[in-house]
Amino acid sequence: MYIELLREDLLRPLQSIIGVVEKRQTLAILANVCIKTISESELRLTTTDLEIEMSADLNGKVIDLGTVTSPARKLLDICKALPEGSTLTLRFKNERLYLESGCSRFVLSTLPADEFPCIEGKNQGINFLVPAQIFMELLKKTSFAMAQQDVRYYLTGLLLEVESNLLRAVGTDGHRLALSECAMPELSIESKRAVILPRKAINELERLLGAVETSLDITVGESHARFQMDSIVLITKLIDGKFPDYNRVIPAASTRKLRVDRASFHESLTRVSILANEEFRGVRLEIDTKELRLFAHNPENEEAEEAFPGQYEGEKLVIAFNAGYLQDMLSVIKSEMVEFGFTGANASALVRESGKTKSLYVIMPMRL
Amino acid sequence: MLHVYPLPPLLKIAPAELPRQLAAGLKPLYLVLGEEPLGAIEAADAVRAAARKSGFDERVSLVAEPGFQWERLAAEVSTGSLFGARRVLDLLVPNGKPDIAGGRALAKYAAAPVEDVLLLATLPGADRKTASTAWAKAVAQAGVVVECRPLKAAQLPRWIAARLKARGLRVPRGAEALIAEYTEGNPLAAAQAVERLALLASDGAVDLESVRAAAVDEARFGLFECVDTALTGDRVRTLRMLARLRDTGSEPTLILWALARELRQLASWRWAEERGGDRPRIWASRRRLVAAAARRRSARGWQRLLAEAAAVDRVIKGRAVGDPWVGLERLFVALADSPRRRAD
Repeated sequence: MYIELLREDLLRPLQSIIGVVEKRQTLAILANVCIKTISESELRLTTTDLEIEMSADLNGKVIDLGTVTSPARKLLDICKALPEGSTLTLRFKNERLYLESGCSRFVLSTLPADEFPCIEGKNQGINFLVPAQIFMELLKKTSFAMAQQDVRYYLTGLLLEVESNLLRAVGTDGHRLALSECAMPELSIESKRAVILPRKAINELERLLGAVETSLDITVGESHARFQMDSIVLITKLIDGKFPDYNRVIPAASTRKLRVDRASFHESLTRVSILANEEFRGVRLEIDTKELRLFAHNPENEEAEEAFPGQYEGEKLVIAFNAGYLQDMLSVIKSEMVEFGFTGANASALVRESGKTKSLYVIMPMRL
Repeated sequence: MLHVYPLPPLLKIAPAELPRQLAAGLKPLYLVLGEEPLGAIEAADAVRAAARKSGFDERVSLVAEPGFQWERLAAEVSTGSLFGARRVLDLLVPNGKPDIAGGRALAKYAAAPVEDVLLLATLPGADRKTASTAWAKAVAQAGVVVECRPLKAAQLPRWIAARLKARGLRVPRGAEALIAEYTEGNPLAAAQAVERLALLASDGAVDLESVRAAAVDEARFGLFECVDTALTGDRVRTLRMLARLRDTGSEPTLILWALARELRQLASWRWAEERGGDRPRIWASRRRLVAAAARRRSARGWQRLLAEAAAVDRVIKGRAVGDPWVGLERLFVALADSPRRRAD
């Protein structure tokens, strides 16, 4: 293999796919990026952690075809450190990868490319297109509620449901739940598909999609999902498990309704929670039709109190929440107004964005 | 008049008392101090099973490695579950030593336990010192502290007898002493020997020979026994024991190490016999066995076997092609065999 290419042409794709390369690996080859020539002017970079596989296509002058794997992070660090606009050559010779650019010369170790693991059977399944930014919104509105680590491994991922005319994402850690939908007017499938995407895949997608303006090509298979954007492809294994029935968790009718201005409520919350118990960051809402107030206090007997604007219908209510849960939710909501529906001090609260977006959130209160 | 209320009794119990304690009603908090791993595992399992029976369907697991954010415990306790269930909070402190924040968090929960949460804290390796800390005392006020202390050698037979009885096994007199003797210091091996007997005995009756076999099989020193059996020259038993080591997941490297050590000793013993010089030091109890076995080959013959062992080592390390177990079998048979005897 012998190729010549611009530093920038190599650097950006490499940065896009470096996320799946873990700092420490179980297999030495997982630290490597697989570089493969696919035509006279194109090559493909692939990285994997056995769960997620990412690849990026890029342009270069291919002098001699071939495939090689070499340490991904070292290659990236070298590319980063080379002067802007420089041209470099990569040549595979005597089990080594020779990288030359200007006066610099690097000799990198390699491992046989035929030992590089690749995910099998990744192209079958339901295929559809969705505007990248719409999908990004879907992820952002729900991914914060995924469990960090949990024996219930299925909660550490995000549920993605594909129906005719509809795409839905749900994340929950058992204490709170976030659900978001987007309309897919041209999508028509026979039966609904529900899959759980692993947390790491969601993080990588959020990182990549920020810069993508075009549409995202999604394939949802039996054991894998494939996401293609521009020249980058991400393939992830799915979490094999049964996601809890989220419909059961969403409270049906709420007797007490609170409507607040999102931004000002968020600010009040941030101020009051400074004096919340550091351990579990509880804040108390005391609300009736006349007055809406937020309280916090901590074991040092410090207190914060704030009245906030809004409208409330229903009986007087005293209810406490984890401030962190409220803040996570308020920071992904875009609408000007937010609606809370309560049924009681010990029952979950339903939160909706006003407007036409189809997102909702459920939060369990804290014990007072 | 001044009323003096007696303090509630401190509940610090041995694992054997746990089933009765659980049957009497669940407490909001269980602390399992496990100097003895098997006891700790079984105690924690018993608590989980009892909790499940009482409708604690959801299980949340927290592992408190050093640097654990103990706030997560309080947050988990104070916020109810969306799925509406009663929850077991399964807290594992792997090093057995919750730091100051951890002790405070546990004491805090003990002071104000929550109805639909059962906290099960397992501290492997925690000892009496842990049990006497202020927070452990606070825990004992609200819940149950199960202290799994290492069994003394003298306690082991009675402990084994209880397990045999619990499995419904009728054994001849002295069976528990036999098992205890073979597995001394290792309750896990003793427990496995009892399990094995339970599987063997269809009607609950077991004879002394199968007790012995089960106990020997579970003994910790299976590896060295295999080598010693080869020294006695019993090929059939040697191969059976080797197969057993293989089936129980022993590492070929370890087996080869024990074997090569023996071969080196035999070679130098034989060398000293042939050429004079100092004999290697060998435990008195094994001297006759080694001396008799060494005579089966010349010093050069033993060295040839050592070279073969080196070849098997290369196979194990992946430097040569082959099946390490076949190589090991060949070596063990060679060790047990006498080339001269075959020539006769």
